[in-house]
Amino acid sequence: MSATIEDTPPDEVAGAPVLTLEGVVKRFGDVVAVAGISFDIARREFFSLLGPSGCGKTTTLRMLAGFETPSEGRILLEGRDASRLAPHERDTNMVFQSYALFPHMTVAQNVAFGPQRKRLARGEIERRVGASLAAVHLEGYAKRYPRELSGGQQQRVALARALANQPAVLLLDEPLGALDLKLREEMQFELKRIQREVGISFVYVTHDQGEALTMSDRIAVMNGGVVEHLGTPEEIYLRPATLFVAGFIGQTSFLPCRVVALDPTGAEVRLRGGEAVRVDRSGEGVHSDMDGMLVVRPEHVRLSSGAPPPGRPTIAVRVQEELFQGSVVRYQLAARDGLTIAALVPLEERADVHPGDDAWASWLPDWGYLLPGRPPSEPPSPDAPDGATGPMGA
Amino acid sequence: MAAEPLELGRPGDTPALRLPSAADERRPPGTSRWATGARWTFLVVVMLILYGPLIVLALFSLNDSIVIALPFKGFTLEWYREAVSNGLVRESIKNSLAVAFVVTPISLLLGTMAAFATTRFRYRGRGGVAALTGGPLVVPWLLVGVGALLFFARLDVPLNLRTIGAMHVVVAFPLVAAIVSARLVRFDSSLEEAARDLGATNREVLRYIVLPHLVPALAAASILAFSYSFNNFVISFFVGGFELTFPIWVFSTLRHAQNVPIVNAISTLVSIVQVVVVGVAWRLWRRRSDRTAATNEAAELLW
Amino acid sequence: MVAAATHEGRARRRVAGPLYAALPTLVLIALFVGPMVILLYYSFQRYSLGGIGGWTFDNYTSIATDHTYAKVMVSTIVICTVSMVIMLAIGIPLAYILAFRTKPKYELLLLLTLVMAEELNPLIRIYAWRMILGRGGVINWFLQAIGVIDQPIDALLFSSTAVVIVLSTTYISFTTIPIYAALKAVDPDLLEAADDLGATFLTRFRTILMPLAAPGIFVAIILVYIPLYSEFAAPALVGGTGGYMIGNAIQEAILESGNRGVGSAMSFMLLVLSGAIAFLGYRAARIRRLQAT
Repeated sequence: MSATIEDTPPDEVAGAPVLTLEGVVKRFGDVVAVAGISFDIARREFFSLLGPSGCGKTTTLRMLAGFETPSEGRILLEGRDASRLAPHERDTNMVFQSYALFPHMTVAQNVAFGPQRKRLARGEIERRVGASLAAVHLEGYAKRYPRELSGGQQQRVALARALANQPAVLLLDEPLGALDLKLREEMQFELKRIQREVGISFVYVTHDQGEALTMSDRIAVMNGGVVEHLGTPEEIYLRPATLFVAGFIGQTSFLPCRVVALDPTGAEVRLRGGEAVRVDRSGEGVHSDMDGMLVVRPEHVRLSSGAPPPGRPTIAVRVQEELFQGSVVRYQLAARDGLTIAALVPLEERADVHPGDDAWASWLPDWGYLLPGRPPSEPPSPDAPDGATGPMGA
Repeated sequence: MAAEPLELGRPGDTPALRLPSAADERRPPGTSRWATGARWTFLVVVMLILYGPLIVLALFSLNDSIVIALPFKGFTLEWYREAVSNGLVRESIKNSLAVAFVVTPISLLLGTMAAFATTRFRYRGRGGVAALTGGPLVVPWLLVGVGALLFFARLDVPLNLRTIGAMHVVVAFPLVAAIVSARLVRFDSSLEEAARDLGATNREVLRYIVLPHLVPALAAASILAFSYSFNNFVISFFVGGFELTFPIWVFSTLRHAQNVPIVNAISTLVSIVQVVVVGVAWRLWRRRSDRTAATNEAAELLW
Repeated sequence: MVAAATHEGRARRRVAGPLYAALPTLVLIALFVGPMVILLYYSFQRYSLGGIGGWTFDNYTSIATDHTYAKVMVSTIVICTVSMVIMLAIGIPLAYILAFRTKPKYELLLLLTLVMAEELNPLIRIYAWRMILGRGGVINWFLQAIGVIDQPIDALLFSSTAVVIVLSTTYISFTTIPIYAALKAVDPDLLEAADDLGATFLTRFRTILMPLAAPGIFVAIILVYIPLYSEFAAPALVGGTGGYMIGNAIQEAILESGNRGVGSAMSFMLLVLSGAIAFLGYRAARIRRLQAT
């Protein structure tokens, strides 16, 4: 199941980043859509902006494209300040969520539109159109009209149209949103393949964390107009920087606790129900004698009846629900003091516990993660916030 | 069966207009034999009311009698020959056509400009412009004509085809503006953004993206503007001075005479031409898209 | 609607709007507002055979006190309203049939025939009716031929009846099309749902169709009722003395008797009346439309 995370390391890139944001802020009247973000995007990188609706990712993309101007800060494209350039003056191209194909033009005319605006020679235009259509596997469709194509085909034409301009950066605004699940998964692989072949940096906006984890070299998780965590899919999944990121990516159980002691090998925490637990890994900002949050993913939790397994963090739970989901079994567990934990156990490791039983929930110390807790007035729910879907498929 | 283009969901599809489904094959309420019969009768009656008079007109134009009364006396093409050779008839038709051919492009231009001004930009006074442009659509032509007559008289402007043409433009271009606005409002702005993103300047966006989108509206508007001008009686009557347009000629001829077969003849000819023109325009439209899409577009244009 | 890219682009756009509006606005002010202003001005001017005199209310008072004008106004109101009612009585069912009970392939064709009927020259149409309604006309000939009457009916032509008949048949398309468009926007599933819940045809009509079609009806009224008031070709050709309308009075005053003051005053009153109808109809349509959505 974890094979969906990109397992080939991103291309090492020598040289300057192709796109840089410095302190970019965007205000619409009184509303602050983007509250100051700075990052680089490297050449040949598949970079995703991930976050829930309203987090500012689309606004950021539009600023990169030139449809919005930053209220503060700069955008550097290939080293030059592009913050105030109009869209047609930038070396970027965008794939729109609604595809925005010109209905009165054929596929070929759509794809040729950009090169024609650049006043390229006719032969070069034809060559580029052919190459772009070939890259998206739509060679025979040149003379069709957009209304004659399926949603997936239209999406590929939109991509070909953008690629034909050979931009330095390709911007994609939730391009797979309108497709059904199966098609979406196919297209994810397609997009990744095309990006590799063409060698252009992609900036990809999505609210689907599974999609981002599958395709990206790096992900910027945004929330409320800021970037909460910028890192590779693995980093984000295994070592989330904030509680929001922990909850937004994958499925998570949150265990409020008190950090008792912290040393180079790990931390001692006391859970709300009184259990003492050891955690080997922690994030930034954790120190002793503070409120913390222990973050555990359901797929790392195991159940056992009888005696608690030695050498592992363990808490006593009562089984509330047991749901058979094919290759895994999902348990809903109630711990002391009203806490709820989820466990996702592979079928072959299933324990003989059922709803109503008392059991022990444990996990390897490596798989728990400690983050600074929220203030007491804001207890997070043990369920993931909206928008998060498990990469394992629930 | 001819291949139907795939009508898959696109953003902006109107959900309320749909193709007949299997469910319609049952007998939904209101499709009893009686109801269907009543409906057909009603439709036939309406068609009779709308087109009957013209058929009568045509029939009498072939009647070999100076008196327009039944029974029929005999078949003749005399009246057509007279109509076509009559100097006044020719002059009036020539004038009407000339005016219409000049008025139509000017109205298209002004109307499109007005439509752009009221739908594509935001600025202070936009509401005023919109209201002003709607004015000629609401004020009865009689009053426009009377007012214009007095206006020209006051300014010592001679009344001729030019004043007719000018006033035709004034009442026709708001209609063009309304039709073009309706189409413009439904323009997907992401298409424009895409064009800009691909490197198009403002002028190129207009030329390659916006205007092609407006073509159906412009076509419909030009036909309407042309008929508005050609058929216009009231305004031409007041501001035309002694000039003859076709409707003016019909009116003067009929006003003091009983019935004149020559009018039948030329009227039938004119009507046939008008029907043919609209029919041809329709054929051209049909070739663009399939029936359902065309119905949808027509409904959109009107509403 | 406006894809303004940068600050500079947006500034450019602030100029572009008024630029597009300039020429049309100029034309309208010169040739539309100007004449209306002159109309108002003349309505307050004293007219004699010598020319225009000074300011006066006489034009309006003479209209108000003259019985003939009142009679003409009343007969105009009657003719127009009756015609409008007839057209609605035909147009609403027609729009309904067109919107819901016609197969799509016929629907467009029918719509086309409706539109084409509009294209035909109104004068030609008036004349055609004159032939049908006359003593030797189609209707009389037919009724005599089948023996219903012995003598031709005179009252058909050169009467207010004739005007009503002619006017009702002229504007049917303009009445039907806005209502049709409004009905088209109704989700047919609503009607099926109502039927499923046990509503009869009348109930469905009353509670669902009429409210949703109301905006279209108001548009139809604005589009048709107002022009009806200023008709003068039809009354002149088929109205005789019985079908004399205010449009004829105005035309006579302006062009024939040279009494431009009174003519202008009548015109201006008609203008105010039209404006009032338009305003009321527009507000009603807007409110209904907002309610429906």
